[in-house]
Formats: sequence, structure tokens, C-alpha cells
Amino acid sequence: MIALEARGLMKCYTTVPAVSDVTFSLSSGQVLGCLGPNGSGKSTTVRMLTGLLEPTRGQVLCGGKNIQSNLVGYRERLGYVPEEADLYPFLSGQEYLELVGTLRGLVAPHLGKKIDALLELFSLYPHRHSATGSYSKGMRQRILLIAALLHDPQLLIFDEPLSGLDVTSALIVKNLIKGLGERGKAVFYCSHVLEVVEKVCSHVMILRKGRVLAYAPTSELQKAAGQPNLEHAFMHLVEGRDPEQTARDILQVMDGA
Amino acid sequence: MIASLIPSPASKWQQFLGRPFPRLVRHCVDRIFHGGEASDADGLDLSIGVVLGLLALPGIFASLFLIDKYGSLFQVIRGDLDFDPYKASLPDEYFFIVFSMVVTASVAVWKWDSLLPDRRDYNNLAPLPIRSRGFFLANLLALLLLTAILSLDVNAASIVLFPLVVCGSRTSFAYFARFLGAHSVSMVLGSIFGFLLVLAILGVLMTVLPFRAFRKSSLYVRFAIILFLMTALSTSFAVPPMIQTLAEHPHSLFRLLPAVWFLALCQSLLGRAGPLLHSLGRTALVATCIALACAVASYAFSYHRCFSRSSETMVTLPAGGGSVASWLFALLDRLILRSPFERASFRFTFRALVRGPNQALVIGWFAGLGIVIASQTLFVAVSAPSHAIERFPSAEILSVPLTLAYFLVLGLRCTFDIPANLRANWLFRLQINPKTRECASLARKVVFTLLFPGLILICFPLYSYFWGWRTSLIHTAIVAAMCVALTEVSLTRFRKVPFTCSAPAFKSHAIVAVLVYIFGFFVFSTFTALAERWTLDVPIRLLVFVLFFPGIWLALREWRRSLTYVDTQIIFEEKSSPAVEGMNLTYGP
Repeated sequence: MIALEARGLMKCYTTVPAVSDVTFSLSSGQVLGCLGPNGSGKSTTVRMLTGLLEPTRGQVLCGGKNIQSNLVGYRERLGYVPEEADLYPFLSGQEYLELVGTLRGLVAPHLGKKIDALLELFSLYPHRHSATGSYSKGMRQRILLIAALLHDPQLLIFDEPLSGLDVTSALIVKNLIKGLGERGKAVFYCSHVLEVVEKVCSHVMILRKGRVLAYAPTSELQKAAGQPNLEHAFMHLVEGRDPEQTARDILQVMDGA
Repeated sequence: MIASLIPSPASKWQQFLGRPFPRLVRHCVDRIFHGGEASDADGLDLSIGVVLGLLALPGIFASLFLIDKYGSLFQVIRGDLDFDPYKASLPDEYFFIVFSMVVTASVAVWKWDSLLPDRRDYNNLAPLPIRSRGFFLANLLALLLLTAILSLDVNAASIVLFPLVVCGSRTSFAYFARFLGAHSVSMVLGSIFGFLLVLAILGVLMTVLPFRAFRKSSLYVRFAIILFLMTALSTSFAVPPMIQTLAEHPHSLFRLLPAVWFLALCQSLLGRAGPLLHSLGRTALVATCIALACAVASYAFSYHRCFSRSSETMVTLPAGGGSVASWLFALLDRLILRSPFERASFRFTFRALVRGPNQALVIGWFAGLGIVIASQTLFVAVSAPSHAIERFPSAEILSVPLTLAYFLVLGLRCTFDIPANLRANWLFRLQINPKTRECASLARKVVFTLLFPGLILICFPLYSYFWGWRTSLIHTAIVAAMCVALTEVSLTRFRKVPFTCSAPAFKSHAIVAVLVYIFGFFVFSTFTALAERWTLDVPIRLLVFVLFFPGIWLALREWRRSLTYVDTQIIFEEKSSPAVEGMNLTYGP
């Protein structure tokens, strides 16, 4: 069953399109990895998928219906971890989660128990009463992850969820994403970390200059590019230049400084 | 048994607060009080209760200070047996109205960034299943709630105490009740008007200006509003006599002052207004309604234009400084900034001073206070019966630039202690040699760069115009020398790059420091002006100043030499004094 579908998405900020003709579908139980260099249009695509940004052309469909026709209903089924962990610094971690839970319509005793359990599992329970302004980047990221999971959504969109996480937390999240896929959730996973995408995602979409360069199951993509792993496949498809040579050039410029 | 099954009103209220919309309204109130997008953990963050308590305090003191004026015993002592409390209260009523308007408007300026929803709200709330109009209404309700709470809180003490003080000598309750009603209505409406006016200005700017221009101009607009409010406060003693003669001058410009409208409303409600005051009282009511309509309309437009399109504006952040600034910095590099440390830190300090909201507001507050005192002094000097342009300016007139300079130097010194995004100070921690002794020199150059152009371009020409260039030159030189001395004194033991060190904690000797500042003001401004006036009559007396300044300089140099190595090392964290301090009585190596 197709949980999320993008049809010919296009977004222009001025006259130049940031994203152009992005088409893909995401079924329940599938984890789709979205890769691309900086400025390739990943964040714009994610914002359109969450309904935060209206496409200039094309549409995002959920259950066959345009999400713009019932944005509130769509967001009830969506869990989203943004790229930037921009929390309210005056709220404690627990207060922030209570705010999100209440606004999602979760009821008090059940919500409290769920928050406590998730805070404990994400190793944030001892810090639950501290203001999020005093949290490290990784702690804020974990709060965002809990906020996205609180209401057990059918569709999850993660934009760089491992950013700032320590090794243990990153491992937990990687396994969690796999588990979510196995439990029939549809997961859209945006990242720069190729090896994680390779391990976690069943399908991969590569964006370059706002266009879909490749969209296929992970294993097939490697085969098609004739490369041993996703990193090499990515470099082969996206980057026109040799990274080793560029590094040598940088060192040369430094010598001349 | 049955009673226990029926939910109590308190639990019903709790249930109600737990629903999404009331929770959202509560969140909006919290976010307004605790700052918006620009706020961080390092900023000054006070709880709602503390803020409300602090705002209510001045009303208590102001009312209590007036007891001697209205007390029946004092009236008998003064021999004022025909004392009319309503008539006598007019200037005080005006002061209370201006004060409450200024305080509520200042709160609106202080909370400028958080009154309307911002990018952080968008990031956190837009992905949640809330209707856009739901958040719009929640924030609007929070704003109206806050306006009402603030207006009541700021005036709470004076609403009760002032009528008690004024009508205390009368036995009639009706007399008291009438005054209480008129006073409270005009005060609360005045406060509401002040708050809504600032909100409307914010909304209109947000609606009309492009996002980038709004972000750039926002700080300057806030600074201008603070200056305007301080100037309005400074008129609170000068305007009441004019109001009493307003009927004779119906086209006087004083009728355009909003505080005059609300005073007229108060007089109307007391039944003491003539036709002109009646009409001005109606203007107060109409103006409040218009302010409310403008605030709501501009909020609606700005919400639609800015918040609903936050995602689109994220990619267009305001650009940096222009070519004028780089030209100015290049010139300063050649003239006064010698080392790379000074050049880099000077640019940083200037930009933080101009762009940092907390820094600009503190400077605005000090500048406003300086303007209030200077304008009062000037008003007294100009309105004196014997006033005419004499050969030499009076001590009051001589004190005006000294007063302004005192508050500017002191304001800058206090502002240097307010951190600008403390987490980013790692750059200075890594780059700067902790033994560097250039911090005071840097701060000194910042102060002088802001101070001396004003002295040369405004003070000198003005005094030259009225009293000739010789008097003006002497005066400008004395003001400049006094400013140098004040800057040197205020920067002794200054060992931080401005805005990079954590703010000093409130210390027990803070009250002593405030008293020293007040005493310092009288020495710097009043005493110096009197001494200068004394020397102007007989030029040989100028030798006093000629000997005084080198003396100060030598004393400061000796004191600096006596500082230990630790006292000169650069700091990035203010350490609070320990509760128990060792006396180091042990003798030994």
C-alpha cells in the first residue's frame, strides 16, 4: 500500500527552481533514503512532503489524496524530525513533549507514561526537568525524535536524525528505523551519511541540482552503477570531480597561504 | 459519596487547561514572556511572577511619596485650608498616566521579538496537526490577555493607593469612589493604548516592509520608541501647568499628546472638564479603539504575510554591513586601531552594540534617562524668570552635555558586561592571548569613538553660536577631559572583550554601586558645571582644572601599576564571590 507519493514536485523560490520534477512513491514498510550534496534540494523536498512548503507545481499524495486538501489530517499521521533542533529554550524536555503530545490530542495519564518511558529509553530521564536551552545538540535531537514517535505515526520523515547524536544513540536510532520499517511504517530518511543509508534503507533516491538522479532499491543501485558500495555509487553518479585530487589541491593552496 | 464523584471546579479547570487550544494559548503566553527566536539560555530570563512584581513596584513608591502633599496634617502645617484634592492631583494624575503608558509600552518594546509568531514557532508548531487559524487565534488571545494583565498589574498599586492618598483627608466615600473610578479607568485605558500602539507599529512594519528590511530596521525602530517614551516621561512635570491653561489656548500642540487625552478623560469622569477637555476625553476612547483595531488588523496581515510563509523566508536572511561601515572601519584602522586584536575586536564590539537587541535596549535606556534629566535641567534653566542670553552660560546649561556624556559612558560600560551569544565566545577564548592588556584600551576607543564626534559636531557649534568660540572651546575641552577621566575610572580592572564574558551576578554591593553612580553623577555633572561657571568669570581659575586632570591621570596610573598579575588577565566568566572568604593569615612562602 502506497503511504506517500510525490508527483512532479517543483519549487521555485525566485525564478530559479530549487526542486524540479521530483517523483517517487513510498509504501508502508519501506524505508526510503534520500541522498544528495549540499544544495541538491533535499530540505526543500522534505518541507514539501511535510506540507510546510506548498509546491509551485506537482502534488504530494497520502492515501491517494493531495495532502493540501486536509493538511491537519495528514499531519496527525505524520512524525517529523527536522534538520535543525530549534526547541523553545525556556521549556524543559518534559514540558516540550507534553506540549507536543497535548497538541496532538493525546490524553494526560497515557501521555505522561509514554513520555517517561521514552525519556528513560533515550537516556534523558535525569535531565527531563532541565531547560532545553541548556541541552547539548544531541539531547535536543533526541527530544525531537521522541516528539516524532509519541503518537505512533504511520508515516515518518527524518531529516538528518543522527546529527549530533553520540555513538550509542546513533546505533539505537539506526535499529529503530529498521524496526519501524519492519512494523509497517513508511519512513522517508534524509541523510548525508551514506553507510547508514546503505544499512537502513530498502530504497534510495539521489537528488542533484533539484532533480532525481537515481531512484531504485539500494542493492540495485549499486549494481547499476557498477560500484562495490553506495559510497562509490554516489560519487560515481553525483560528483564529477575526484575527492582525493581536490584534497591535494586544498593542501597546495594552504601551503601558499 | 456522590460529591466525590462530581469533579471539583479546580479539576474541571485543570481538564480545560489540558485541552489543545487552552494549552496552546498558555504556551503563547509563555513564549511571549520568555523571548522569541533571538532568545537563548544566556539571556536575561525572568519568570512571569517576577516581571509582574517588578512592574507593580514603582506605583507603590510613587503613591507613597505623595502622602506629605495630600495629608491633612501637612495641609494644616502649610496653612492650606482650602485644599482641593481633585485640583491638586492633576499634575500627579498626569505623571501616573504617562508613567503607566511608558511602562506598558516599554514592556511591548522589550518583548518586541516575541509578540508575534516567529520562525521557531513555525519550526515547532507547523508540523503538528493544528489549524493555522487555531494558532492565529491562540496568539491573539494571548496578546489580548497579556495586554489586560499588564495594564492591571502596572497600575494595581496606584489604582488603590493613589486615591487613598489623595482622598484620605475627606470623609465622604462617594468622593473617594468617584476619584477611584475615574483614576483607574484612565490609567488602565492609557496603559492598554500604550501597549497596543507598539503592537500596531510592529504589525504594520512587519506587513509593509520586506522581511530583510524589517529585520534590519527593527532595532532602530525600537531604539527610537524608547527614546520617544523617555522624552514623554520627561514632559510629565512640564506639561500639567500648560494643561491648566489649555482652554485659553485651544490650538496648543499639547492637545496632541496621548497622555493629555487620558488626563482629559479622567477630568471628564470627575466632572471637572470643560468642553475642550470633554472632547479630548472622547479622543482617548476613540484612540484606544483605533489602536486595538490597528493592532488586530496588522497582526492578521503580518501573520498571513510572514508566519504562514516562514518556510519561504528561511532562505533569505538579512545581509551584513555596507560600504559606509567598511570605509569607517578602514579610517579608524589608520587613525586609532593599532594591533590586529584591536581591529578585530573593535569591529565585533561595534556590530554587537548596534545589532544586539539587549545591548541596544540598555543603551537606549541609559540614553533616555540622560535625555530626561538633561531636558529637565534645560527646561528649568530656560524657564527661569531672569533668563536671558548672558555673557557666560549658567551652570545648568553647562551641565547638559556633562549629563548626557555621563549616561552614555556609564551606559556603554554597563552594556559591555552583557554577553552576546555567550556560546560563540569560544572564538575569542581560542584566539586571544590571556595575558593581553588591550581590553581596556579597546573599550576606551569604542567609548571615545561614540562620544567625541557628538562633542565636536554638536556641543562645540551650539555653545559657539550662543556664547562665542572661546567659551565653547573651554567648555568642550572640560567636558572632553572629564569624559576621559570618567572612562578611565570606569574601566579600571576592565579585563574582558566586550560582550564575550558571562554577565556578573547580582552582588550584595550592587546597591552601594548604584549609590556611587548617583553620587558620581552629582560630582560629574552638577559640581563640575558649578566649578566651570566659577572659573569662567575669572580665567586664571582655569588652573584648577589644569592641575586636576593630570592629578587624576597620575593617580590612576599608580593604581594600575599596583594591580597583581591575576587582576590583569583576560576573563570570559565572571566568578561569583564565595560565601565564606579566607583571610590568608598563614605566613609562609
